[in-house]
Amino acid sequence: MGIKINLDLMLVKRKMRSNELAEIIGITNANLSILKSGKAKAIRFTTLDAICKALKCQPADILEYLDE
Amino acid sequence: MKYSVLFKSLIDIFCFGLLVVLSALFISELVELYDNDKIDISLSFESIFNLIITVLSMAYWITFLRGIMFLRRVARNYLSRDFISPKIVANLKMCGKHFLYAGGISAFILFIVQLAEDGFLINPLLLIEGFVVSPLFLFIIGLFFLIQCGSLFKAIILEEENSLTV
Repeated sequence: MGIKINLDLMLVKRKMRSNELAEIIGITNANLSILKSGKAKAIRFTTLDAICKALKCQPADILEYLDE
Repeated sequence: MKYSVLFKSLIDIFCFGLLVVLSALFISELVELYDNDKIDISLSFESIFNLIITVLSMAYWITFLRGIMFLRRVARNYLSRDFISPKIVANLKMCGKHFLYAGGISAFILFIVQLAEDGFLINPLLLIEGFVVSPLFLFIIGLFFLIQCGSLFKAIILEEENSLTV
């Protein structure tokens, strides 16, 4: 899949830890880890909305399309 | 759960009952074969035809029993509450394929027996086969299992997607 998840980068920029983000957006650490590792097959709009709200960013800051 | 237990028990009874009956029939056939008075070593049409039918019948029963064994494995998976798993898909697929092959062999046997049309053929295995399991039924069951296996495979993909949706 040509979609890259830049969640790690955004977490570093916002100086936030994974478990803090997981707690804020209301998902488990395991699910956040799936998302960060790029193993996720889909992401709900509600999750994306919560992540953008927590990290004060745009969806494009988290998701990047790579032409493979 | 109680249906799974019933399903597994019925398959066990059917499977082992059939094994006992078939073993008894094969032993009686072997005893007849070793009876010196009845050995037919001539290369007549009847003896060759009988031999072909016996070999085909054995192939049919072995295929059918293998199909039942795969169905037994499916029942065992259901008992362990393993309803959607690749193991069930693989076993259902093998079961469906074996029933289809058994149906094909059975149809072929019935066809050549019809062609022979003489009364010289006395094979107890064929008699059971003709009355208990018809080729059409085997084809239907085999195809049903293959379709079920396809839907279960899709269910597994959907479940995987669902569990990987964040």
